[in-house]
Amino acid sequence: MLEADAITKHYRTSRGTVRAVEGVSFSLPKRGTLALVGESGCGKTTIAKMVLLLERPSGGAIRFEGQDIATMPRLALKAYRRRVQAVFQDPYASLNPRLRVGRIIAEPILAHERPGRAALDKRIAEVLDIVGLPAAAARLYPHEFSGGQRQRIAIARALAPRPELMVLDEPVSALDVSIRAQVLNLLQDIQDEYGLTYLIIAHDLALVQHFSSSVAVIYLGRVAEAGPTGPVFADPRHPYTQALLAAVPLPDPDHVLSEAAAAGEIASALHPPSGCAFHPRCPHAFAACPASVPPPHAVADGHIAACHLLQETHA
Amino acid sequence: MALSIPVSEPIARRRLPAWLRGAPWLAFLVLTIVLVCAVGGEDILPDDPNGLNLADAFRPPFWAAKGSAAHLLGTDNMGRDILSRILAGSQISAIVCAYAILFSGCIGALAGMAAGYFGGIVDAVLMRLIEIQQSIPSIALALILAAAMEPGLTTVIVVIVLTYWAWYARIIRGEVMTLKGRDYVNFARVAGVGTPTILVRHLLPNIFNTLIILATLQVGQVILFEASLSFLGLGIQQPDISWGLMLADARQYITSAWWLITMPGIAIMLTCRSANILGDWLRDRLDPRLRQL
Repeated sequence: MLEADAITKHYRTSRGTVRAVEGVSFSLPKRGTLALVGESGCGKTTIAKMVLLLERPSGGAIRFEGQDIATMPRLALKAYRRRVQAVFQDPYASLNPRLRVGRIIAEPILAHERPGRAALDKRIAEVLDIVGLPAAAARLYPHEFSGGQRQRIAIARALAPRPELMVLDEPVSALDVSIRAQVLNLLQDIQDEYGLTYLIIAHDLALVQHFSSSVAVIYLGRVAEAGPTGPVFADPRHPYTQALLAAVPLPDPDHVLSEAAAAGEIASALHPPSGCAFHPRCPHAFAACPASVPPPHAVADGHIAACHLLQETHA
Repeated sequence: MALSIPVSEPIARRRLPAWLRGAPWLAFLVLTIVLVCAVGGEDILPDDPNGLNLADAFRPPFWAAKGSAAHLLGTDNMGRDILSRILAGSQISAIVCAYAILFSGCIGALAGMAAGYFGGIVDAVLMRLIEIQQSIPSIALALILAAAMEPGLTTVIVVIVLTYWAWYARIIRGEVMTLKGRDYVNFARVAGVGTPTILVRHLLPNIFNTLIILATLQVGQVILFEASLSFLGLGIQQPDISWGLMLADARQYITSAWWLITMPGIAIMLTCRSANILGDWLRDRLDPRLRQL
C-alpha cells in the first residue's frame, strides 16, 4: 500500500548539510503495521513528515498504491489527504485550544465533503463513541480533558474522514505509563475493526514488539535492520539492534544490562561518521566499517540487516 | 447529644449572566462617558467649549478658593470652560483612536500573518518594508505628510497608521511563526484543509489575544501621539479641540494655573487605563481556557 524507495532528506543549514534521511526504503502492505524505531534525531519523524507531505524528499520516491505522492495529480492528491491521516505525539499541541472538540473532529471531514448538519453531528458522535468518549464531549474545549482523553480525541479526528492509512508519530510517548496500554489497545481494536494500515514511529521497543507486524530500525537516517517483528526481536543481526534490545529494561532485579549496549551518544547528522555510521559505537567494529557503507543483507526471508559482519561470515 | 451545625441560608441574589460576572465596571463607565461625549456633540456640553470670556479667565476648579460651580473644572487662559473642552476633545481622541487602531491593526495583522505563514520571499519583502518604515522617525514622517496633505485629523490618522502597522506586523509575524509549527496546524495541512481556512480558523483566533492587548496598549500611545503632533502644529488645528492641543496650550501656565494641564492629563490617563483594563478583561473572556476560572 505504501512504499518508500530510497528516500533521502537533506537540510541545508549555515553549518553544512544535515543528512536527516539517507536512502531509506520500506514497504507497508495493506492492513499491516510498520514501526520505525530509533533514537531521537535518527530521522524517523522526518520520514513520517515526508509521508504526510509536510516535507518534500530530496531524493527517492514515496509511492501510495504504486503512485508517487510527489507527482500525484490534483484529484488523487486530494483523495490521498483524506485516505492518510495522522496522530501526533503531543495531545496538548495537536488540538487547537480555541475550537470545541466537535469542530476539531469535523475539520478533516469538512475538508473533503459537505455533509448536512445532522449527518455531521452523527459522524462526530460515532467516532467519539469508537474512541470511548461520550457524544457530549463534542461541546467541550480540549483543555477540559486529560492527556489520555485528548489523545483519544486526536484519534477520533484522524478516524473521522474514514482513512485507510494512519501515521502514528509516537502516539503514546507523551502519555502517562498507566494509560499508554489503554490507548494502544484502542488503536489495535480500531485497526482490526476497520482494516487500517499503520505506520508507527516509536522509540519504545517493548511497545513495538506487541503492536506492530514489522519493524525498521533506523540509525542516523539509514535502515540498520528491518523485517517481521518476531524474527528481528528473536534474532537481531545488526549490533545496533542488539544494543537496543539489550538496553530494554526487564522487570527482573537480577537482570544486568549487557555489554552490548551502545556506548556514547548518537553522532550528529551534520557530520556523520564515514562508512557505517554506527562504527564509533559498535563493539564489533573492524577495518571495513569506517571504509564503506554496508549494503542491506538478506539474513532470512524479508529480514535484512546492513552490517559488514554479515558480509564477512557469508563471504 | 447531637451537634447542630449552623448552615447559613444561601443568599438569594440575582446573578448576572456568566459572561458579565467580574466585568470591570469602572473602566466600562469611563469609556462609555468618553464615547457618549464623542458622539453626543455640543448639545450635551455644560458650556460652549469655544466661548471666550477673558473676564473669567484662569478660574480654578470649584473646590479651590475663587472657584465657581459654573465651571466645575475651572477655565483656561481665555476663560473657556475646561470640562466642556475635555468632553468636546474626547470626540477627536475617540475618532483618532478608532480609525488609527482599526487600520494599523488590520494592516499589521494581515502583513504579519502573511509574512509569518508563507515565509520566503513574502516574508523577506514585508520585513524589509517594516525595517524601512521603522527607520524613519515618525515625527519626520508627520512633517512630510503634513506638508503634502494639510495638517488635520486625516493626517494624524495616516501618520499613526503608517507608524504603528509595522509594530503589529512584527509581533504578529513572530506569533504566527510559532503557531504554524503547532501540530494542529500540521494536522490541518495533512488533512487537506485549505490555507485560507487554516489562517482564519487556526491562526486568527490564536493571535486574537495579542491583537487585543496591542490594540488596548495602543489607545494610550495614540492619544499621546496625537497630542505631540498637535503640540507641534502638525495635527489638530484650532478651533478644533483635542486633549493634546489642550496640553500644548496649557504648557506655559504650568506653574501659575496647574488645572489647565492637569485636567486633560487626568482625562488621558483615565481613558488609557480604562482601555487597558477592558482589554485585559476581554482577553480573558475570549480565551476558553481562562473563561471558566
